[in-house]
Amino acid sequence: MTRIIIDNLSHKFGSTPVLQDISFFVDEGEVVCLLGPSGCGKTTLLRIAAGLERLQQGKIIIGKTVVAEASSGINLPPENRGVGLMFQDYSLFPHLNVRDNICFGVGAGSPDRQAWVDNALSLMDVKFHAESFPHTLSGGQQQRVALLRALAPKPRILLLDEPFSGLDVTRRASVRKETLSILKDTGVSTLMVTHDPEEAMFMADRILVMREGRMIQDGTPTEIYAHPASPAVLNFFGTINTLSSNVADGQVATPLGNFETTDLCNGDAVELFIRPEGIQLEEDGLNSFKTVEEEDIGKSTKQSFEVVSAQLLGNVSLVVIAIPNRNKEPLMIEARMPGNFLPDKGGRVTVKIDPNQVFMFKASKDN
Amino acid sequence: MVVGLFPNLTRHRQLHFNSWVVASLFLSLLFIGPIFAIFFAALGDSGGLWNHLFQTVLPRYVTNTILLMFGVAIFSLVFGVSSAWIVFRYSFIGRPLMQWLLLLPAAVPAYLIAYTYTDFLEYAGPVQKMLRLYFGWQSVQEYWFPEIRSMGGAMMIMGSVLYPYVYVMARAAFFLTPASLYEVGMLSQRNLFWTVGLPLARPAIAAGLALALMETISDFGTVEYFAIETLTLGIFNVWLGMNNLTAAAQISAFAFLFIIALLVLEKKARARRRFTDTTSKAVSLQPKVVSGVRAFVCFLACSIPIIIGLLIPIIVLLGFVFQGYSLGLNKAVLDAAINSLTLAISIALLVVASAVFLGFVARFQGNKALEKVSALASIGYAFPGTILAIGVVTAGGAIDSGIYKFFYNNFGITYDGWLTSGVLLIVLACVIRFQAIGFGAVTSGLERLSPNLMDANLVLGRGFAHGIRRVIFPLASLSLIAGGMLVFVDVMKELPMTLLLRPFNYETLPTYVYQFAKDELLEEAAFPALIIIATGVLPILFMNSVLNKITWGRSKA
Repeated sequence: MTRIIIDNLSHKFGSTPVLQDISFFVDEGEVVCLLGPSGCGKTTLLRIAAGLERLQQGKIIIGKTVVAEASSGINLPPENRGVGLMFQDYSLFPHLNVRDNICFGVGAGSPDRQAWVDNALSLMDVKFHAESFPHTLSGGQQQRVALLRALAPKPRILLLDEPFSGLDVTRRASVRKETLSILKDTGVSTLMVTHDPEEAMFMADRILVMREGRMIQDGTPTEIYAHPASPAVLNFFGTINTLSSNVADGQVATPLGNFETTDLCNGDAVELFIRPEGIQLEEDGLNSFKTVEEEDIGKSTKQSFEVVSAQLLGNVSLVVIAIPNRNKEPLMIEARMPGNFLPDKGGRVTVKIDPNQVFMFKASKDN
Repeated sequence: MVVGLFPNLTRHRQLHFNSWVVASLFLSLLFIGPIFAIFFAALGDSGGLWNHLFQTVLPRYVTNTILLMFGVAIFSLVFGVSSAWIVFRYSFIGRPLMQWLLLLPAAVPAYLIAYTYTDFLEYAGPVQKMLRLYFGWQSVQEYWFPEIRSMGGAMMIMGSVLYPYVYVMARAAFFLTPASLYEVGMLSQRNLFWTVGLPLARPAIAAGLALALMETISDFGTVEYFAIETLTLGIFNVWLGMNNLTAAAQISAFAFLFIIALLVLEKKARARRRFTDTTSKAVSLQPKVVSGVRAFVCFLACSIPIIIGLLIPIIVLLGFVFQGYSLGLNKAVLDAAINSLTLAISIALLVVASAVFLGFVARFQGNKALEKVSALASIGYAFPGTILAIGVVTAGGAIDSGIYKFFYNNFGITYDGWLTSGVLLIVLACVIRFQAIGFGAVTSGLERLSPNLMDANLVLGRGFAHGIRRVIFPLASLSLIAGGMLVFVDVMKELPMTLLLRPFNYETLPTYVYQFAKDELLEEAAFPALIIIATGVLPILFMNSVLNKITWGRSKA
C-alpha cells in the first residue's frame, strides 16, 4: 500500500519558485531518499508534507487521506496528519527527560505504545539515560532519542531531515547502520532528506534526485549510480572528469580513446564523463620517455601518460595525469586507485578505462 | 548542509486573520493609540500659549534637555564602560561581589538620590558641617562649596544611577566576544580595550546608552527638585501649573524629535549588535589575575559608582532613620506601600500577560508584518511618563465619552467614566510605558528556543495550545519572570505618571516621598524611601542571576 503520494506539488517563497512539479510516492515499508544539494528545496518539501508549511499547489495524500490539496483548500494541521518528523537539529525538548521526550506524542490512553517505548528503551542503551536530560547526551544518543520520539506515536510515514548531519564523521557510519535497522525492524515507511550521496545509497530503497526545485531522477541506488539521467546526477557523486567531443561514425573520439555510442547521432556535440574510479592506471614498467605522438591519440586505450601528482587519501590514492590535447593546454585527469598506488611525479603510467564508468550526454548549455 | 540554526519561519507566511490575530491587533492598537492621541491633543487650540512658549521658554527647555543628556551620557559611559571592562578583564579580590553590586544603583530612582544628596551636601548637611569643623570656618563666605542643585549635579547624580544600563550591555558584549579575538590582539601587542573590546562592544554600549538617555529625558523628580527646566518639566508645569493640556501636548509633540533620535540610535545599535552577539559556543577570555596596588585600583574604580549611586543615599536615609525620624510605620506609609505593591504587582502581571499574548501570536500565528506591529506596541518605553500621561488622558477621555454615548443612547444608562482619571488610567499608562520590558523578555525567551520545538509538538500530534502550555511556556518562563520583576521594580519607583494621573488622596510610596522632599522634609520620608530602594534591589539580584544563565548557560550546555 502506498503511504504517501505527492502529486504535482509546486511552491514559491514570495516570487521565487523553490519547488516545481514534484510528484512521487513512498510505498509501504520503503525507505526513500530525497537527494540534492543545499537549497534545492528538500527540507521545504518535508515541511509541506508535514503540514508545517502551507501547501500552495498540488496535492498530498497520506495513507488514504488527502491531507492537503490546493484546489479544494483541504489543509489538515500537522497534528492531524499522522506523520513523524525528525528535525535536523533534533529539537528535543530541553526541559523534558529522555522518556518524556519519547512519550511526548504518545497518549496515556495507548498502553501498547507505552509498552513499545519501554521496549525500545530497553533495547537501546538509552535505557540507562531514560531519566537524564537531552543536553547530557552525546550527539548519537540525542539522534536516537529524536528518532524514537518520531516513531513512538506509530506514524503513517516517517520524515527524516538530514538525520546524520549533526554527527561526527566517525560516528556517522555506525549510527546510520543502527538507524536503518530500526527503520527496517519497525517497517515504517520513510522519506529522508540528505545531501550526501553515500548516505542516500546506503539508506535508500529508492533515491529521488533533486536539483533547483525539480526532480531529475527517480530510481534505485544502483540505477542512479549506473544510469544517471543527467550530468547533474553524476556530479552528486563527487568530482568527475569531463571531456568534450563530437560523434563521428557512432564513435566519440577523445584524447583518452574512442568510445562507442548508440543513442547519440553523428555530428552531435557530446559531453563525456569518466568517473575517477573508472580509470585504471598501471605504472609503465620501462618508465620510458617515449612521447605519445598526436596521431596515436585516440587509437588505443592503453597508452602512457605523465603523472602530475599522486596522493594517498586512506583507502584510495588520488592520481592526476596529464593528457596531451592537440595544441591546447594538456587535460588534467583524475583517477582513483584502490589502496596505496603512488607512482613518481613525472613518471609515466598506462591507462585502462572501464566503459561502465563512462557517460555521454548531448552537450547543452546549462548542465 | 549549512542552514541557519533558527531559520525565520514567519518570513514567507501569509497572515490569516483568525481571532488570535484580530485580538492581537486590537491590543496593539490600544497600546499605540494613546501615543497618537498626543498629536490629536496638540492639534487643539492652546489659546496662543504655544506661540508664547515658543518664543520664551522652549529654547531654554531644549538647551537644558540637550545639556543634561550630554552630561549624563558622559557620566554613565565613564562609570559603566570602565567598570564593565575592569570586572571583565581583571580578577581581583572582591570581583564577584563587584559584578552584581555594580548593578544595584539601578534600584535607586534618580529623584531619591537627588533628595538625599541635597540633604547630604547642603550648608547644614553633614559634609559641610564636617569641613567647617575641621577647617574652623565660621560662615558660608569663608569657603567655596559646589552647589549640588545645579546642572552639573544633576548630570552626575543621574549618571550614577543610570550607568547600569551601559554596564550591563558592555559587560555582556565583552564576555560574549570570543577569546580568540582578544588573543589576536595580544599576539599583535595591541591595547585590548581600545582595539578589540571597545570597538566590538560599541553597538551594545550605544544601545545601553540610548536606554539611559531615554530615562534622562523622562526624568521628572530630579529636574523638578533641582529646578532644571527640561522639556519634561516644561510639559508638567504647563499642564499642571498653567492648566493647559493642549500646550503641554504641543511641547510633547516637539519632544518627539528627541525620542525618535534616541529610538533610531537604539535600533541601529541593536541591529549592529547581531554581529558581535555570537551564538556560537565561543569561550570568553579568562581574566588576568592582579594583586597589590593594581588590585586596589580595580577595586576602587568599581567602588566609586557604587558609593555615589547606592552607598551614600542609603547611608543618608539610614542616618535619618537612626536619628529617630520616620520610624513609625504610620497608616499613611502603610497605605502608600499597599497602593504601590498592588499597582506594581497588577501592572507586572498585565504587562507579562499582554506581552506573552502579543509575542506568541506574532511568532506562531502571524507573519513579519504582525511581528512589527506587536513590536511597535511596546514603543511606550521611549516616551517620558509626562508625555504618556497626556496621551492616556486624551485617549481615555475619548474612549470614555464613546462608551458613555453608547450606553446612554442605547440603554439610557449613565456611565461615570473610569478612564478620565484615576487608578485605571495609571495602570494603562504604566502598562504602555513598561510594555517593552515584557515584550523584550518574551521575544528574548522565544529567540533562544528553536522554532522547531513548536513544530515538533505539532507533528507529534499535539495542538497549538498544548505546545504553548507544555513546551514554550515552561522554557520561556524564566525570561518571563525576569521581565515581570523588572516591570515591578519600575512601577515601584514610578513618579511622574502617578503624580499626574492619580485620584485625589491616592498616594504611592514615590508620591509620598515626593511630597515630603518637596517640603524639604526628606528625613520624615526616609523609611518609605528605603523601602523603594529595597524592593528594587532584590529583583535586580534575581534578574542578574537569570541573565547570567541566559547569557552563559547556552555556551556551558
